[in-house]
Amino acid sequence: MNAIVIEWVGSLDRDDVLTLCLDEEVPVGKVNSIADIFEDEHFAARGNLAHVMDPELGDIVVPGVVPTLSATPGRIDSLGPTLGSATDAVMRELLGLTGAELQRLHQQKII
Amino acid sequence: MTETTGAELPLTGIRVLDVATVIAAPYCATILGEFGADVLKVEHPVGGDALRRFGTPSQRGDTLVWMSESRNKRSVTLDLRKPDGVAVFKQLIAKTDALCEKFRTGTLEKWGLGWDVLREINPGLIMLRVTGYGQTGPYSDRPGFARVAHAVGGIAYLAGMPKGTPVTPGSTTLGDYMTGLYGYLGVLMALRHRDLTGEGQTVDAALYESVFRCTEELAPAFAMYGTVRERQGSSHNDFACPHGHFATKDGKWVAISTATDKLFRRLAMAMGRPELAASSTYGEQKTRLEHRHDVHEIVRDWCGSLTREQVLEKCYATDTPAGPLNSIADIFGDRQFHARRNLVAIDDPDTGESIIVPSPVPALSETPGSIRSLGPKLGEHTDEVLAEVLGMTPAQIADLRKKRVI
Repeated sequence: MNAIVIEWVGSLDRDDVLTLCLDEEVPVGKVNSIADIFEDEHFAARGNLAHVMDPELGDIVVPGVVPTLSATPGRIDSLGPTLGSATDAVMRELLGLTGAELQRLHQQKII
Repeated sequence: MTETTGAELPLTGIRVLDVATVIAAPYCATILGEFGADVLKVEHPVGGDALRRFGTPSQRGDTLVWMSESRNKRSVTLDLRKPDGVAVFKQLIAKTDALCEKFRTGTLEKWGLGWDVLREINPGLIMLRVTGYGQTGPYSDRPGFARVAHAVGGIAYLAGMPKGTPVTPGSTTLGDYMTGLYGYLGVLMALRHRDLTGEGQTVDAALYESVFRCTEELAPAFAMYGTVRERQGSSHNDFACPHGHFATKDGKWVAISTATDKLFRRLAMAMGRPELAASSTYGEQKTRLEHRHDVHEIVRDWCGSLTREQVLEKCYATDTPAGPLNSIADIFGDRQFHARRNLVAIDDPDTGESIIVPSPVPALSETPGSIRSLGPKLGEHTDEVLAEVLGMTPAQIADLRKKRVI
């Protein structure tokens, strides 16, 4: 059975195999490389390639958020932070630390 | 079965309608059930879920995968192609928290059971919709299966020997399980939103998206540098060496993963050749990557000179990340699996057959999941559910049965 399919698929271009299969509702798909994915209209339509602007690096493309929630869809507010970029803000907001206390923790290399 | 702490399971009181088939969306319902939800498996009266027939049959006839993955569910038959079936379904929707479906796009709409109709009945409803390609986009009406999703999502391309035929990445159902997990996450978040606001919503999960979402730097590296990762065989990693599968003297295999110089030093110690980790030899990742072939040869020869047990003992002794390539037979003999109770034996009450299945994960300390029963027989709970949930009388139920709606 496999030999029959191998021979048939091997005799046609990829797009022709896809078209003929999809006409008969046969589950079929391209074995996509990442380059193929960037050219795929469905990935574009679904927003699977999210462009996020990083203040230092510029435009970065990453996988979008899944699954898609209708009322409360997720989002990417920022990319991976630089090391410790939120330390002071978190210590102030969550723990109520003052500037002097933060300075001491920095000096002691605790944060 | 998992021991209980006496605490009520976290999803007790949540009712789930699972009208889906095979693995992806049903697996979401399975996990919800392990943690306490009342899962009603709604099936076509003739034959039911095709999962009952995929794979190795149990003594009862339903397959082992059905018995395992339909754990804790109650089976209710209902023909959604008949108007009376649609009417009963709508009554059930009014008493449901989450619906899991995986029909081709437009199918439920065709039966008059689209999101707009269901939301009207139950504004707090959460509807998980699993398809191959999602509810939107140019391919949304194509049929989808996990194998195709692995291909489209970009991981089948990476699996196999360099330049060779792409092989199945893991198992043919991997994408189904991944999508069940994403669906489960979506339903839990939607439950939280509903509890806070009363508003329900749809969770649109696509098989190929679950796969693509797990491709680490593939997208940003292509966008930035045009890098196209190719098939990497059994022992290739772009960033670390050695990192792969190695055969041992007794015809078995081990996985060794030394991602950093520190870990390579430990491997060199395990091999009894600490000099390999000197900075003048292979102590630095950069050098090892440049001489990938030589490094692999050294590790391959070492592994090939010992049994699997010997290789692993030496690796464990120096804290080198290594493990056996377990077959399922190996797993049954593995004391870690035993200690974690990852395999549980449950008797089928009908035949007395003992069926061993994977136990719920992850392990919650106060409210661990549980397996209270294996997959139900087709329609086993139809009467019970219609009476208990919808308050139907025996006469009403008999009437539905006569019309072959249930």
